[in-house]
Amino acid sequence: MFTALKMDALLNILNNLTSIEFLFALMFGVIGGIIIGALPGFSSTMGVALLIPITFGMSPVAGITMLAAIYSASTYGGSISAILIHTPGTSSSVATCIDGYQMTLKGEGLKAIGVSTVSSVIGGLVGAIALLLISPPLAKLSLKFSAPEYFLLAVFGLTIISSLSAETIVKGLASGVFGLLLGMIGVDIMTGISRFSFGFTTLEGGVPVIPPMIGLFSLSEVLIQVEKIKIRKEKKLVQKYLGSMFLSLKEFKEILPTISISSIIGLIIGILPGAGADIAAWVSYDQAKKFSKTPEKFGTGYVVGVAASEAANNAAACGALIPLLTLGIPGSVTTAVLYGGLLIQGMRPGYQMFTKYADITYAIIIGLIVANILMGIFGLLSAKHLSRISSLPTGMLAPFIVVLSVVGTYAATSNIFDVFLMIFFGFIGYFIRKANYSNAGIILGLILGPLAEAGFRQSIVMSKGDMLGYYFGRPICVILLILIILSILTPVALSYLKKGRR
Amino acid sequence: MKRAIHLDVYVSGIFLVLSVFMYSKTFVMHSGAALFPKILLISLFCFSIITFYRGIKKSILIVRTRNQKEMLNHSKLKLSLSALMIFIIYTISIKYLGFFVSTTFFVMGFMKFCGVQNIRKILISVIIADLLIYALFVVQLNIFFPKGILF
Repeated sequence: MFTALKMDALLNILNNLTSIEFLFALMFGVIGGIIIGALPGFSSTMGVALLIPITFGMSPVAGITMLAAIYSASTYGGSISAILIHTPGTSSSVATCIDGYQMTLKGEGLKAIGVSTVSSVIGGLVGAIALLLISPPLAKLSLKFSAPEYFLLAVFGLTIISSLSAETIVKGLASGVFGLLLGMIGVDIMTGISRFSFGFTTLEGGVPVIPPMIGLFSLSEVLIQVEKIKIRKEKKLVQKYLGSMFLSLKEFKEILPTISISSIIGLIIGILPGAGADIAAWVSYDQAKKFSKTPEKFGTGYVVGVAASEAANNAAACGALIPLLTLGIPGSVTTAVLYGGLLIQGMRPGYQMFTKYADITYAIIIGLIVANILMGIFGLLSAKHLSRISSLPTGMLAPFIVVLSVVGTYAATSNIFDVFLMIFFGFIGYFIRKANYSNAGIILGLILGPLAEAGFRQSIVMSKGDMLGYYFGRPICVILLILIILSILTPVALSYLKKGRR
Repeated sequence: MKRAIHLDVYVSGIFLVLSVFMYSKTFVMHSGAALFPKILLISLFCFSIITFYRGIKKSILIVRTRNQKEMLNHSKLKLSLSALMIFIIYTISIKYLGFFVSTTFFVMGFMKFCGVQNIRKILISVIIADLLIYALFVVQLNIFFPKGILF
């Protein structure tokens, strides 16, 4: 892999990795990610969306590494509140609650944090190293893509995210189509005609990505949290966490096989578009229990249970970056938002990421490896104190998130209209989420809209009237069409199977 | 429970109206520029019809089973919409009072709205918010916020 890199590119990578800006971004991403993850109710997606504007003034390496570090560290951070206060900070740490909190009740909360930290670091490292090794050859596949493939790839990405994050596939697809329509607003590049801008000159250039992203993920989250103010009860903290955070050699040997298997399961699930870190955690937990010699220990505060889910969710988080960077298919909701972050930095996923932008991409991946190690160090040092942050009331956090949302949106263009646009999308996002549509589908539709339309219109010209014949004559198109149909039909078939079982 | 309308009916209803309205706007467009939006709008219309129908079925089920959970809770909605109004007032005030003055008032007011009564906590939060944004965005990222009539 590195033999393909020229000497000056290697020097550039080293330069990037040793810059003060990069180190600051890395630290900020890791610490910020752990804190965001530890806050119940605030997702890693929200964290990434909220902090994208900070990356404007940064170099692509520092900016994207910071976002990737937030993503990885928040996946781990979710386990801290799951273990100590029985409230998963993120959806991927729900499985950790089972054995983690039981360990806390037994007076082994710190040990559980230690297990979670070691497992998350190893899982994250497996994912990040796989990203480094698998991505370059996989990215070569994108060289065979032309307009029809890009159109179908956009449709595939949308169907995947839609089926993943909405209540039903129909709602998910409606969200994706709505997002694509938002992407149609503004001047059409091919004809120069203004579409759906309704007299707003600021919309002639299209809907900017930042206001909808922050509105749909951050402001709508605050609106949903505000609802719960009256009913939220303070979580009782276990005042004293006894024991040591560090594992004995015997304990480490006991969990190592589980960590290894769960990391691989997590990685594979993470690479598969559509299955996220939460599914990885559950599948790994289930596998660890099935193949354990002592399955009865699971659920009673067993270290192996914590190790299985935590290794898997971090491996999946890093694994989800593989289809994103190589083919532009987000493997999870957070990577759909990260896609926006990449585009803002002027980088389009695909083969170019490993040729033209190789010095940037490899620096980001190495940064992610370092971030996973730092995550372990900071996690061990701060876990005790983070339990207090986890129990902070919404009233203390919500104003900060709103102010950061306003500042972040304003910082992008210095235009107050964008802040109103963000609030408007926050309002839409609130109802979209309450009705179980997919806000990730909307964002991905907005991002992929212009790409999908250009691919569609170019393929009409290329097909010379026989569009179906043209698409079916291209092997990659046929594979993508099958995948699209599968991604639409699988959730439908699964829901019928569930109904049948009932 | 006399009347119960599931949220799906409202949201899909809005999508239906939106798709018809936007479709009417495509008639005046160049055929090439209108083609892709037309396909999308027809798709949105079809998806919304399905969700609308399912929403009505859910609404009937709510009335039959008296399932309050599935209904739109108006007291919760009032809280969220009040919060939204505060955000709008905050954004408008940025233009007139300046960013930092508005932010100070907003953080204090919104914390009160969220039920935080401890004055010390509120003051510390205000100071942290203002200082953090000043250090990160004004000093570090050179972003200048609206100044308004004060500063």
